Amino acid sequence: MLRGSRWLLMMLVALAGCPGGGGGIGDSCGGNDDCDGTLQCLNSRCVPRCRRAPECGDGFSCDDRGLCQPASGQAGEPCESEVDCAAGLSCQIDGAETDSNNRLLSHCAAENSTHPAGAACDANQDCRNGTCALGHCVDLCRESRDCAAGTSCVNIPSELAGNALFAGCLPTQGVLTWSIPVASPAAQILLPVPDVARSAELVMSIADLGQKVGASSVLSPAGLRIYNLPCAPSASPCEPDRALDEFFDNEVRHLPDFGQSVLAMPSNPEKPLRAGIYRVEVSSFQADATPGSAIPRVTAVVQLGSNGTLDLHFFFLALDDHPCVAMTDGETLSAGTAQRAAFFQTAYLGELSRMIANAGLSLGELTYETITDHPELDGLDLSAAGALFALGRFPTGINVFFVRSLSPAGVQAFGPNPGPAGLGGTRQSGIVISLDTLCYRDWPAMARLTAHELARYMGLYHNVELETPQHPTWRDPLGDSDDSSNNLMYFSERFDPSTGAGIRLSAGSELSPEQRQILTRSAVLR
Amino acid sequence: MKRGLVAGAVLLCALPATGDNALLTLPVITALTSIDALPSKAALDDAFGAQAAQGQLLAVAGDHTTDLGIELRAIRALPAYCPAPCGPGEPAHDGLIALIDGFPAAQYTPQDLLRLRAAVEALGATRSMLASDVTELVPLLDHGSRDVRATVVRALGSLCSNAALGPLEAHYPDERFLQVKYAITAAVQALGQCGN
Repeated sequence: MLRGSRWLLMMLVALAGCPGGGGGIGDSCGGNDDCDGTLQCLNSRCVPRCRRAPECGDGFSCDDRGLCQPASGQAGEPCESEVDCAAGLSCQIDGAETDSNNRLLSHCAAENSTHPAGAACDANQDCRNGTCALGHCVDLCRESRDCAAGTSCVNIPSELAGNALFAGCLPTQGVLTWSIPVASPAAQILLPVPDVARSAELVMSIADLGQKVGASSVLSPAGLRIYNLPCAPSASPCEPDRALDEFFDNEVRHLPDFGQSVLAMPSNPEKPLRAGIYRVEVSSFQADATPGSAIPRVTAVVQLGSNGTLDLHFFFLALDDHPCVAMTDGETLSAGTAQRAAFFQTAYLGELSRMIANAGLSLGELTYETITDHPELDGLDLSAAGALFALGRFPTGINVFFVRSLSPAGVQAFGPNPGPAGLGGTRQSGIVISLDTLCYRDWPAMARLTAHELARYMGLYHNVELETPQHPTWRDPLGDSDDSSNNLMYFSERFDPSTGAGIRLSAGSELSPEQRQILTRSAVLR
Repeated sequence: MKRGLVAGAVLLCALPATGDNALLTLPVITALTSIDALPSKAALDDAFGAQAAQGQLLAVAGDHTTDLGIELRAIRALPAYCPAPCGPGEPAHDGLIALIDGFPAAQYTPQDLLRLRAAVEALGATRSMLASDVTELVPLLDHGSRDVRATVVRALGSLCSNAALGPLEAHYPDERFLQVKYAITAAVQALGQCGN
């Protein structure tokens, strides 16, 4: 455990001063009383009191007074935390054996000569301290003081022992991403979700873009089926309306798609994530919904907490000589123009920032790039959107592409719903906005379009669909969002009857409390 | 030329009085202002009424006094009302031809360009397989707007008529924008997969 910290303490000790009560850092001492009240006596020298055990070095705990205490646990003795075991030993889980509280038992054992806590791993033996969970080496703990700074002691389910939990150190904030191996075109995978997770997702992809991939069922840790694959309209006797009924009935919204799809949970904050193992049937499918032959690649993403900061990464295809150039003050919209022009910085980003603040979030880092080497994507047919989004290399935040036009005509913006939050460079890693829209809308309206698609990427659904009057269940799963056209997630541009005769289309940006909750859980945030 | 006049008459007959937005009821507006998807035929039938949908879409598509976003979506929705084999005599097909013929080539606005592209794209989406539709579009391969040319190329690929192969291959060497050249390559490949 963090031997470097021990060396740091020894270096401090090397800066030795004079002995005596109230000793300063580095002074020699025989006990804690010899040192200043903010210090402790360790290895006969006064050193700062600890806040976390790793500051004391391997084989020590940090008690609630900030004093490093040597561990006494020997090989084979039971332990709960890494700090229970003497130097050179680590606290390792005893297979699937549990105590009366369904907590996994563990004992002190020799450290492995492999990766430290926090490093990526595939199996327990990849980790120095013998525990690999959520794709990362994890130290066992009793409380967060046992864990390194920036990490917390949380309950983690074990894939080897049903829903038994163990306490391990995970980052307090941020996103954990790891691969889950799949060996056949259809397989059950286990998604362990720790108790602090705010959202979790599986990104499933296949190389054959002529096949679909996705989940066919999801069981919660309690064994409840929270997702069932809707019937496919191409497969008799499934009518299109029934397929949509089944889609909207699921507690978790998901549909397999060509090449890649995302299963994001929760879809509804009233039905939050539970700590434990989610069992997900993952499969590839032929276009006619029969079993596929492609083997899915699966990546898991868990959001552990964020500051609510949304980074946006703007990409501009070749937009020169666009017919709506009057809306860009006669200039070509590019990375350079966007960074200095008032229409982009004030009229567009100002309005977008206001809408994002309305969600309880703030805009963070903004980056700008011009893409000139993909002319085939300048005017985008939506069937080629995957090739464009794959250029969105930023995993944190959302990649936003501006293209000359979108086909089919009339589509103003487009993006995955939900997107692969926390992953860059995939066929769904971004949203796209059509510059054609500026021929009949202004920049604030473009901001609303962008905010709408960003929110879909982050897991919100249309509050109502066009067909909701005929099919009342075809709407978002949230209990507190209404049917208002003032809502940001209204499926169409808002018609404002207050303007009287004629057509006035303007921006609605309202969000319900539960819509805000979904947005603040997204793994795109930092 | 005669065919164009007939088609124009079809469209004009479907038009409401100038500036009359009586067709644009709230359900119609909401159906034709969806942001990130096109409305399905079933949804349009619900909005307009199944019997009236095609005629009213034609009217909205040809009314340049209405909101352009609504107009574009109405144009793009017309192929859904042109059952196979879609061709002359079908109001939706003839309406699209009239919109293309009605493009004010001598003096046009950015909005006119968007209308033209929507109509061209929609004609391609009919997948009519008609050489006459190819003939309609081929002159636009020389249009000054690269966005129009790219749209025309895609539409020629979508029409599924081998009559488009020659004009596409002939235009390729003269085209200076890679955007359009790539589109030509994709269109030729698409035609090869049509099987006609």
